[in-house]
Amino acid sequence: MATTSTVKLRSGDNEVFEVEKQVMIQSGTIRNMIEDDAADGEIPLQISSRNLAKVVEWCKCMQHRDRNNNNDNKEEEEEEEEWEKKFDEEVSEDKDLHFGLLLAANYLEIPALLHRLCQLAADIVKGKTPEEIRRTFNIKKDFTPEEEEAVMDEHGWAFHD
Amino acid sequence: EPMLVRSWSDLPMRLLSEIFQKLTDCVDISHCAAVCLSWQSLLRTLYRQLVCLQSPFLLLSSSSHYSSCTLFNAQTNKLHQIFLPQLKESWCSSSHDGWLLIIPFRREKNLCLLNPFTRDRVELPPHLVESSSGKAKDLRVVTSTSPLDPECVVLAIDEQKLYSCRPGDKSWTKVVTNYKGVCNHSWGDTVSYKGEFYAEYGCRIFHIKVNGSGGVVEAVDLPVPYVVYDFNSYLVELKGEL
Repeated sequence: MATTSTVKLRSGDNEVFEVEKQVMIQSGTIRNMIEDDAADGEIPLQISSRNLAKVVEWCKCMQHRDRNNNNDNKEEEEEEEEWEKKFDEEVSEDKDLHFGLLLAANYLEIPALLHRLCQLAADIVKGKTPEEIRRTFNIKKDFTPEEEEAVMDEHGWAFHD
Repeated sequence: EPMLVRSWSDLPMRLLSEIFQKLTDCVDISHCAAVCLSWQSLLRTLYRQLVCLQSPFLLLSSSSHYSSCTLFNAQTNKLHQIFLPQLKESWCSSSHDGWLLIIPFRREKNLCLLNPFTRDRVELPPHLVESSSGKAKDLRVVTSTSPLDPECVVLAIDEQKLYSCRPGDKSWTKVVTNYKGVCNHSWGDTVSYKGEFYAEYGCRIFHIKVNGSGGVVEAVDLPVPYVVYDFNSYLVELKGEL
């Protein structure tokens, strides 16, 4: 029986977040659970408390923004833009957070957050050389010399200005 | 407790492909393909889809001697030289919708359409036998859809004559015209619009019907009397209408 207006989310490291249902229905996964009356107890999630806190924060901000969409409150609007800008910066600078949020947004089915995170990742990639991309995203070059030669045959044109 | 730094080569393919689909410059896509094996193999399957989203390139020149062509990216103002072994002993006479028309020096060999990024290659029939001027390298082509589509129709413009074929055909089909007027003009600007062709000829506009009866391809004079007087007229798609 759905009796309360909140859901309890338990992170992978056992921290419990109590959040308004109205906020968390942005997540397809949580929304389905609420609709199936399966969200009354704690919902265990394989997401770290750090990442889950960020996801919840993002959902709150977006819900707040959508609710105030009809108001013409310039001050609040600027505040929200400022918050989003800070979110973008924080995520772009912390690749572990970025990675974790991508997985979380995917698992929780939050399309708007996923879209935002993918756009940020694409913006980071733009204009970087393969070596810079590897360094940024902690990726090992795993081509054999033959494979690398084949890659250069196909894509080498992009490496000269 | 120190955080374990994750490697983005482990990111699920679905998420990676979402990220790659937000890249709008071919150069960035090629850089990503050269990062690691998992990114490369994903991009190989995504490439065709991604290239359609890219900013257009202007084909500046091609060289059979160096087996390469030079493209200009109008978005980044950069020149790119792409090495294409297929250009050996061939001309690249024109391009349409990202595909290059490759014409071998030797007349018995097949023409082909080549996508310089995906390296997809679509065979066309050999040289036109009755090429009016013999200047094969002036040949232009327009395609109705992607050449990879088996239903695609390729229209070749050879100065005073038009020919059509579908990818894989053994020979070209001459386009017949219902026009009874003077026939010494050259075909002007030719475009494909919603799968049909329209061309300018002697200051008239023709609709080239590729699905005519009995497999006949005909050029029908459209009742647009002398809208174009200028010799250098172009057909332009405006807001989805021709």
